[in-house]
Amino acid sequence: MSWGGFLDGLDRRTGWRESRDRVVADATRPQPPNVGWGATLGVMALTVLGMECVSGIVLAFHYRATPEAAHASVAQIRDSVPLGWLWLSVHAWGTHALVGLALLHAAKVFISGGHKRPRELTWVAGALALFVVLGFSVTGHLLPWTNEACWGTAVRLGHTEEAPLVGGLVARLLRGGDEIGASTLTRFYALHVVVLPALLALLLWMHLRLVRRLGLAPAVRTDEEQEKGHTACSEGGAPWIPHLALRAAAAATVTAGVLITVSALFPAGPAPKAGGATPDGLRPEWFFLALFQYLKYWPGRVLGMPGETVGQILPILAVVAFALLPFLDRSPERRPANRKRALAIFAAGVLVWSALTFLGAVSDNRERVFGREWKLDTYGRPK
Amino acid sequence: MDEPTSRRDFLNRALGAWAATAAVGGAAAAGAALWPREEPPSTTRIPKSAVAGGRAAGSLRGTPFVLVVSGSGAVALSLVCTHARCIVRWEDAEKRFLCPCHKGTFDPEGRRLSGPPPADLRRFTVIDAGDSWEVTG
Repeated sequence: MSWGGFLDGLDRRTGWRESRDRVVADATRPQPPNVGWGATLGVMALTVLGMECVSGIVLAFHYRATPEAAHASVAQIRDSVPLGWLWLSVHAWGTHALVGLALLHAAKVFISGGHKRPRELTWVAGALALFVVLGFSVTGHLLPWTNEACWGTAVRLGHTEEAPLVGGLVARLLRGGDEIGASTLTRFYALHVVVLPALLALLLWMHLRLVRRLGLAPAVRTDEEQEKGHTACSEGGAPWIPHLALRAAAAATVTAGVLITVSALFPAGPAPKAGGATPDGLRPEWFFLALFQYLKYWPGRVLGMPGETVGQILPILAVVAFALLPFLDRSPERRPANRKRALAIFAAGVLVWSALTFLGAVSDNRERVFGREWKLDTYGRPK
Repeated sequence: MDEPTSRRDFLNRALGAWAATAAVGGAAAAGAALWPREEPPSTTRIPKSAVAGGRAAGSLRGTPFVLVVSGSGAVALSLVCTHARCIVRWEDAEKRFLCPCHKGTFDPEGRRLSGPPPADLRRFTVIDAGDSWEVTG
């Protein structure tokens, strides 16, 4: 039987040509003329995610999820698996790259109004995917069973415990008991390699399926005529295949190159095993620093309730608002010049977040600035 | 509804009811399996000879505590900070417990002094058992 005959037979049984033609039709449809390199941020994030999957599978083949064996198995990956140190390093650095790129992607989409009608659900699926990525980061952090990770997790679950209404239940379910231990490690591992990947796959499938169906956003008002038909709004624009795909391929290549280079130059080194004292100056990853610092400003008790619980209400509302942003920011305008109020709120948010991140990084620390040493207290004030 | 239910409608509803029952039952069973088991209280003994300077360290189900013995008796304070569950440490110079994570402080009796902790340090039950102190929690 010839190759063509094989493909014909396969088509009679699966109808693959019809599916392919639908994908090709969507991929060769002209996209709006305003699409630039900013549209490749999502592709970059997807590239890093792909590298996380591959490196994660390599690590999972060697990793042992028990408090006795976990730390040693990671050391074994680092020292005796071929290029194990690099796989480990790529996986660790990938978290930072993925969160960073996903945040930049979201910022770019917001600035260019890509979240607006009819793309609200694309945004919601993407925002939920970002939360799942943060879940990957939190669960993955514990797996090497280092002292710092154990205490970091203890703190996170302690904060979870104080969360309004469901905090105690969720913390207990995640911890698998009263103390961080073997149950916590297996639960985090199960979440990291089974539950979260399934959730992320579903959310990203929705996200990408909607991008395919709706195309990229044109720089026009959502109630303007052009939005209705794709051909009219897309005059002068390039299609995904081959134009935008080539650009995406370039972005993906550079992203992979930068991630591998950084991972090779600054490999994730060994860290002491769990079981030691609570370390001084424990702080979370950069993307949680703002939250970490914000929560410090709340006193122990507020209005007869734990201050922490009251303090968490604001960030929880912010997170919900972020996920449901397209339903809050409903003006039909997409052009940034006509959305001064929305962009001012966005800029203020970024400013507050950056300031808290900065304070979180320098608080409780000594910093040398222009040859003068500053000692900063836990609130970030010079002592 | 005057129209009699058709055979198809009835079967569709039966199918929906079956799916809902299976989903709820499955979720309940999975939830029960995920729920961590309650650990029974446990007891540890601190020999009185181990108490030095009115203090002794111990641990109960992985939770470190300090036994403080004074003329009026003994108290066992959990060293787990009530804020984010870091382990507090005794600062002898300042006569207080300090949590290294968010700088919460507690007085020698475990009452909260400053910082984010919402409650006093947890106390375990201490019983005088002759030549040792029996700590339960």
